[in-house]
Amino acid sequence: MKHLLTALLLSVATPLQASESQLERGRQVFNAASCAVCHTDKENNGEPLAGGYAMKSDFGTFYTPNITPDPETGIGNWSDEDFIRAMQQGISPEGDHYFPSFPYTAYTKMHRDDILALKAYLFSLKPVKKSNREHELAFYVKMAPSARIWKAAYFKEGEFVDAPEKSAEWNRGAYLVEAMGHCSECHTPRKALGVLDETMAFAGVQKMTGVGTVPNITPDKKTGIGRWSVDDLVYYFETGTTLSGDSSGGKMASIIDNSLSLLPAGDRKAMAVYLLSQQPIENSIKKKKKKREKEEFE
Amino acid sequence: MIFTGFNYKKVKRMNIKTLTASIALMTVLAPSYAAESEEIIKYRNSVMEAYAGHMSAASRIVRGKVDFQDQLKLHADSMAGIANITGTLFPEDSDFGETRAKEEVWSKPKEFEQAVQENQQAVSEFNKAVASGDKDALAGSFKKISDSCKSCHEKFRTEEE
Ligand code: HEC
Ligand code: HEC
Repeated sequence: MKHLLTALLLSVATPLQASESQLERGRQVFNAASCAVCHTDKENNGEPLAGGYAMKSDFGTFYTPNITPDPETGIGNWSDEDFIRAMQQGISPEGDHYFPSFPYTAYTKMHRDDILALKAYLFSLKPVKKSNREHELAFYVKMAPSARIWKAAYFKEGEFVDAPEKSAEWNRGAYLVEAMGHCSECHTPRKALGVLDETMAFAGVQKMTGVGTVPNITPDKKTGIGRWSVDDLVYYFETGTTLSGDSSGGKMASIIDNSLSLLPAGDRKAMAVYLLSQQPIENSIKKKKKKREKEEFE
Repeated sequence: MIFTGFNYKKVKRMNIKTLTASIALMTVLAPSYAAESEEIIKYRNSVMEAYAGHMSAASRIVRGKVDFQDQLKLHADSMAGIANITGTLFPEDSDFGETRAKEEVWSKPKEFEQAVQENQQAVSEFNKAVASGDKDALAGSFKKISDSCKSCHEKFRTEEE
């Protein structure tokens, strides 16, 4: 009887318990997808992944939710399928549609195994009790079921598929940049309604609300990173030091600290190889300095 | 008080009368003050660009991209010189104009001073590593410099817009 119980318990426990290697894989996915950049409120010394970070956008301010495994205020009660649906389809366990400020538009390309490893890793972290704060959005965003309408028109669901004619390294880089790193969320300009302009992929944005000036990272020699070598880019991902010796600040520094510098060296190289293989686009982004007027302080 | 410069914190504390009077005075004096501030900002930018230039050049030697080993000391010396004057480049009245320096440089002077010191410390370690020729110390201390630049920019420099 006792043996039977142990056996029963074990058979129940095994599928729940994540293996070491799955946790390690989950940690790498977590870093590559830079979840901490948005879900930890660093500015106000918030606890890791407990949310509350204010994300300013053209549509208002989003406050990121708590994604720690706390069952009440976090995602501790979510099943594997709940989590996969949120990441790949942008749908909550209650069936609500998320705003694309949560970059599921990129994460939809992640492989199922990676998402499951990520969930196992998240659930191995410390639960934090902290309630979510409501977003403060423009009235026209709040009124309509805007997230659902937007998704119906613009959201393409589907996992990343390797391009067979390209090298394994290139495909790894593409997966990291497109599915995990969501680099285009900032580096690609948008058309109306916040839709990415694919014809200008990675060509930079003069002024992005809440982020600032985002440089052109296509390999254009004059206006992009065409003079950077693969090694130069890898070095930048590691240290934040640009070709001209400047040190990145702002959101990109946070991405380097919380994501790129933590990746295995091979992943940084794969990303560099992929980025430098892109179509060069001439698009001059000026590093305008903000003119600070005295009136601002009255 | 107005002659000591435009400090917005002081401005906030003034009453309406002095404020009106000051604004009248400001309109007369503003061009010259703005010009002075603008000159300091341009100087500051040039010094920072020189710093970046030495960083970039040194990184190419440290990373083994080029072999100008004998010139590494020149860059290390120059960086030490600049690290030592960074703190002086942000006088009280140089916060208006075309600058990316955040208000926090002036409103959190202790934290800013600490960021400057962290940078000096890292550069001084780098200089020691250059003198000793220890490869690991060289890479390690150089990484510390870029970390301190990045962390200071994160706290005290605005995103460009
Ligand atoms: C660019 C910022 C950003 C990044 C990066 C980001 N998120 Fe989010 N996330 C959000 C925002 C904003 C929401 C809220 C969306 C809404 O309410 O419609 C959200 C919502 C969620 C939710 C839903 C929580 C709930 O209570 O319904 C989960 C789960 C989640 N994110 C997990 C992740 C994971 C895992 C990662 C890393 C793979 C990640 N997020 C990366 C911004 C981000
Ligand atoms: C949250 C917005 C955001 C995301 C996401 C983002 N970046 Fe950036 N990136 C920036 C900003 C802003 C800068 C400019 C930093 C500065 O001026 O200090 C930048 C700078 C860069 C630069 C330096 C270019 C130059 O000319 O100096 C490179 C390279 C780069 N990013 C690559 C990437 C890659 C690769 C990813 C995806 C892993 C990525 N970025 C994701 C905002 C972002």
